[in-house]
Amino acid sequence: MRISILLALLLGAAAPALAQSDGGTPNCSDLPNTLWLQIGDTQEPLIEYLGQALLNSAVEPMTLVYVTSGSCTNVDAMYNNTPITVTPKYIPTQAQMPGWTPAMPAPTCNNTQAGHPIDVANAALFVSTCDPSTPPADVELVRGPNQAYALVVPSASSQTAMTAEEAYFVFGFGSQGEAQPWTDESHLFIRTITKSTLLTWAAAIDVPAAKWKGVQEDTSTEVLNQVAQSTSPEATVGLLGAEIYDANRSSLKELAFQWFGQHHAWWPDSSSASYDKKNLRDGHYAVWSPTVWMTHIDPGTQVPVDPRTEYFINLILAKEQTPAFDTNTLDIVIGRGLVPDCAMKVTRSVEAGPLSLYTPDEPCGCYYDSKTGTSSCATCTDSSTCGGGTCRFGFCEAQ
Amino acid sequence: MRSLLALALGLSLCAACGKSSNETPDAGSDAGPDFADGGCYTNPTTSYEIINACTDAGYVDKSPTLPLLLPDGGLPPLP
Repeated sequence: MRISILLALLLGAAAPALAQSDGGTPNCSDLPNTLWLQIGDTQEPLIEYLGQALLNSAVEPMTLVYVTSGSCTNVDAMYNNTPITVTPKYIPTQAQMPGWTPAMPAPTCNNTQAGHPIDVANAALFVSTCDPSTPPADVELVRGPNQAYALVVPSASSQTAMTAEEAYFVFGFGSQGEAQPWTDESHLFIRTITKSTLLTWAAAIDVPAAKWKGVQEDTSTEVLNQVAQSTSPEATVGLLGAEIYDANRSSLKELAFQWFGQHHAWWPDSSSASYDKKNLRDGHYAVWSPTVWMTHIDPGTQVPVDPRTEYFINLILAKEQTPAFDTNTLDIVIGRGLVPDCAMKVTRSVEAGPLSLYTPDEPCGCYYDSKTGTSSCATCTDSSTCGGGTCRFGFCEAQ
Repeated sequence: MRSLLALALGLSLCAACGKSSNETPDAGSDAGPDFADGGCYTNPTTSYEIINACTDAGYVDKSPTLPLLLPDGGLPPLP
């Protein structure tokens, strides 16, 4: 009797500690000012860098807690208010994880059994590709930076390009496609059918996602590892978001791609060695989609239910807002291989749809060029020296 | 369907769009008439012209052998 009372007392004393820490893993609910995200895994680098800036912010500090999943899964979860019930990752402080940088995997926190509602969801493609119906009245869709999708091969491969017709036979026919050297389906590393990477490529080469041949991988990391470590480099090809490829160029090679109707094959960048996304921006590289950011709004007022979600999404859009954020988030977006809308020269309205010329309301192409290579634009401190143009981010833009 | 349309457009309008050799910048595009200087478009307006516009970016030329292409160059139905 006395022993059981003692045990109960001990367990009772231990309970709060267990609730706070499971072998050093914090409870998500104990983290300060959390914003819960469900994103495509191609957007994880952006979220890690942006999350660190938010954590260190003096004006709008937040702790990003996030899970990665397929874009179409994320759309469905947002539309149907499905909570996050799995174990999420979070952006840690230096006190929580000394030495952590956004280049490292983010740690996890303990979720509750009931889960937590999604504050912001992300799809890395046109939402209509996942669900063509009108979005629910309480969900706002915001078009964000644009992302290229890449065909990657092992560094040891001698291949340099693939045409859309080739891709049609490689991924639509597999071993029966006779498109050398990619005729072994066990060396075609694709994604599952809820993932933006597969769906965007599917639209680009006219092979419906459900008909693709190859090994379906759940994560970008798995594709990356399978391609990089392939023992048959010539026969191997995989699909990745360009920013994942950009961060791993030393172990992979990107194929130039020739879309239907084109006469040459192009990289997203102006060369295989550059990072300027010139060909995405001007339409020569066709396989790209906008990222879309979703949050809940009041259907009556159209105002976000949680104002922090609007602030967060505006950081991704690099919009000026109040209070002004203490980091230039445009640099974070550009640095992760994404192309902000303000740097685009073409646009489209559906997946793999026709391109049209585009002039952003507030262009930032000169600044974008300066961050990814060199800009030929004049530098400025105000618009008076821009000959009718506008000084923006230190460069004279056309308007 | 899209591939056939693109092929027809390409054959009728553009024999060699693009100006650069492999990863070698060219002399740049001037403001000449459309479809000048080897077939690329200097002032593109349509989607076809945009994807074949003149540029100083590098590119790769490839003419793969695809035994399953239809005699007219079109794509067969998927299995």
